[in-house]
Amino acid sequence: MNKAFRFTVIAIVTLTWSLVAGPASAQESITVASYGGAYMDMQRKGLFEPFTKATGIKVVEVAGVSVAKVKSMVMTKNVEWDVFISSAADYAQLIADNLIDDIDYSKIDKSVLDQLVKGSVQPKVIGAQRTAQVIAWNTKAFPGANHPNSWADVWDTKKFPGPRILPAGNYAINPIEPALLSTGEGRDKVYPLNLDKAYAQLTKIRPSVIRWTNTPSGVPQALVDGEAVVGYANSTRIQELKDSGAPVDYTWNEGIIYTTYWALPKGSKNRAGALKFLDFVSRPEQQAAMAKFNISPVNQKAFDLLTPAERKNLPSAPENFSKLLELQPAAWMVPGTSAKTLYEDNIARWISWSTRK
Amino acid sequence: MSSRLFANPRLLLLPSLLLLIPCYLAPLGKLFGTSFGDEHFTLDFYRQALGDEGYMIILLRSLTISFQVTVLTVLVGYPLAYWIASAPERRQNLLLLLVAIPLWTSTLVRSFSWIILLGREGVVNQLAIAGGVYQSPVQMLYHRGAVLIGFVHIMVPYLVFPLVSVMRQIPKGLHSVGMNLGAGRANAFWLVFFPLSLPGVVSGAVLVFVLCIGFFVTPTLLGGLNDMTYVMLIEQQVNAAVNWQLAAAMSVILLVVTLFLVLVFGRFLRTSGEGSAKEVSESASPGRIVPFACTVLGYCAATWRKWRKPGRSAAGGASKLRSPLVSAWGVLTLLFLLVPIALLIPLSFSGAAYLQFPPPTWSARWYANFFSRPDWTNAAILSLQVAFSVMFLATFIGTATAVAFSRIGGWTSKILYGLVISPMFVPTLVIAVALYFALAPMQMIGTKTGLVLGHTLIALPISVIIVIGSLKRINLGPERAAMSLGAGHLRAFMSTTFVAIRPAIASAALFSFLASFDDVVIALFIAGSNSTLTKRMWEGVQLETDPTIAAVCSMLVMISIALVCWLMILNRKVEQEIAAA
Repeated sequence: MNKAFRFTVIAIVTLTWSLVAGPASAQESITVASYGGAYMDMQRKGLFEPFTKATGIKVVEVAGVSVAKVKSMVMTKNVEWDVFISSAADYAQLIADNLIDDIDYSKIDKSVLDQLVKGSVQPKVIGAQRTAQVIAWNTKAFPGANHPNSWADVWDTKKFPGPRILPAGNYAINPIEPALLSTGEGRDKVYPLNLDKAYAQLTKIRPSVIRWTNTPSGVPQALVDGEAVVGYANSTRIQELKDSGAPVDYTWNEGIIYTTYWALPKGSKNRAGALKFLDFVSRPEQQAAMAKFNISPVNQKAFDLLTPAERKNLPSAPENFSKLLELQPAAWMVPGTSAKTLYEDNIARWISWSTRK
Repeated sequence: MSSRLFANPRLLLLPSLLLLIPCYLAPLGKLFGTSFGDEHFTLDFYRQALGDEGYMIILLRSLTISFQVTVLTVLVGYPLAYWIASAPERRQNLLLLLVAIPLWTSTLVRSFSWIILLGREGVVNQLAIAGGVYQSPVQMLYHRGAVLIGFVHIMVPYLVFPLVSVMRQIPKGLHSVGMNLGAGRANAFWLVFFPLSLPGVVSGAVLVFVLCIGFFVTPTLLGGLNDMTYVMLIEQQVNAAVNWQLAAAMSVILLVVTLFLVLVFGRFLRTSGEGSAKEVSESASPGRIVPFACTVLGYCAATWRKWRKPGRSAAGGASKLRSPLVSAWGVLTLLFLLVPIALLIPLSFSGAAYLQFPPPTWSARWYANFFSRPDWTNAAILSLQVAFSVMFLATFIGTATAVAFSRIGGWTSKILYGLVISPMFVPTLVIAVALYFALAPMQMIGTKTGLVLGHTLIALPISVIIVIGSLKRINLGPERAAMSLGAGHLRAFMSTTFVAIRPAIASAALFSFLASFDDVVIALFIAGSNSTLTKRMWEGVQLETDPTIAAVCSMLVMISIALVCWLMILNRKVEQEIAAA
């Protein structure tokens, strides 16, 4: 009886503690959603921590962003994010679905806005960074100069044997553009997008692809482990791994460059804090801080703060940029055959393609 | 008031009904409604789900994988169970403890360890090359083989525990009598022991099969595109395509398939070691057929062996009960269960910036990283808070429900019992999807309450089953005596029966705690932007390449070991107390 009593007391105390000890912090905070992993580690050092230091506003991090997540949050009115990053064609779909709000630019320093590259300042999104997805490989499998140098090479499993790793078709960075480049017709033949042709190419490479990842670290991890010999990965991450001694390398050739944007989900809670955040991260100093991790700035003034060595591995450095294909979000917004946009068409198509052998 | 509660045990069902009706039945009802369209009634989504060849291929594939896993689990687990059951009493407990460690380790941790083991530069490949089996590394990961191995590793304990308890009830004498009468060791086994153990095999196998169908973590982490299962497809419909109606229709289809299998094969569950299920369904038992069929099967097996290897059985006549082959198999299986988990510990002390085996240098930096990162520590705190609340709720509701079931009968109690334990058979992903649809409009996604309710649902069946099992074994005499001496119902219960079932309540509490602490699937849907520790690990496995996850995993492994030991000690102490009394 005594013991039972003690058990009950402990249980009640625990329960009360569980329910009371909650997020009772009085400090103002904003919830920022981003890709997570190594990229978010960079953002934490380059953006979040300096922001908290400067404004006193805490940054609550959320790892993993997708149009679907924003859509579910807005549809169910469970909007937990205040600001999030959006890449490639995702932001265009967000606008088409009316899931993000207009940015109140009067709250952002006018002189900073003027420093941003063309196309960064749009009614509903503001440029965050420029980043590139490139052909990357394991240097144990392909030592020296004999490595895949184009998407046609990646598709050529006789010349460059070994398992491939590609992003899943429903991931933000999908394999459609690479598939269209793999035909060898050149960068200017990618747009307008032809999904039939792209999926025919994906079917060809499918037996050699060990995994279609849904995460930013999927490709780098598989290349480091030697699980795959070649893949489609973020240049920043591969450069970082290469610098830390991992057996990986990449080429700028036929890589894809795109702008990532910050956006404000409809019905988010701390709008004022989010706008302060946008103002802060667009400044040259913060843009330069991110550039030190080899992520291209959208603020032109940031280039002045970088040394030539720091500029060398940026996707937007002229000698690199000339080899890249610029992603065209508008090409994903044309009407699809079974859905409102080609973007949505592709997701449905991917699921159905992946269920068949 | 509380005394009256015990006077009418039906009222003790109230807490579980208060939980199950709004948090389980209503969401499943809503899911059912959603599957027919939100605004007006339509069968479009069923047409889409059942008419699509690809979706049907995946449904069949899920069933095939589950079947293969079940067969493999029985092949691997039966000799282990036999080895354990035939060991001396004291060693039995130690061996069961070793089997319990993987059972108590998060399934996510266990699947993660296979990623490291089966990689191209993983331990298995390295050993195979060193041993000259392969010339160059072979792809093992993201392959059907990896999925099957990962599944079997998780399922073996689920089979071994019920099986050992059935085998322990088989009188050892029978076996030796058989041998004394001239049957060889093999014949004595196939004719006497095997048929008597078959009910345990069948009930374990049904459990394994049903659990496999609903398992999300293992195939997602270890499989390739051609290993996609039905639950993964449902998750895609919710999280990638935002096609809720189709996801609902597919969930209902999976639910119907699973419940059909449980109802068809569920009768075999009755013969399991748990007194609970047996008792509840006793009146309607068609169960004579099962032992009969088992005997016939065993006889066939014995004759077949005789026919294949004439003369051999007679020769082994006087030898011991346990053959060295069985012991070797038992040891190998134990190693198979434990080595992958143990391997995480050295890996977590790696000095390398990415996962690599063996670690090139040693350091505790990933532990330091864990404790210095608020995203990890906050997740751990949230997990603890939720798990403690779930432990309290599930144990309280579970005990009340178990006491009620032990005191009432009739067909309503049978139906209610089925309802209370059904979250064990309903795929967790289906529960999660249903809860998500139900909680979202109430803005309860991302709340602690939502998580606690969801986890209590999946913890309740375990705690009810454990407590009922214990209630069946105890004598109600003392409670009646206490009442006849003038104690109230509650007082009589607390001072007699409650004391006797205390160890069961403690294990119910622990299992409820772990059910919540280890869950990934409910958290993936309900936790919103918050992360529980396992959800954070899940994200980590997918988003990161650093060995922090290995550090978290080995801490969890050590916690599991500590908990198992604690429970063992507690059990022994109470047994001694009871014996002394």
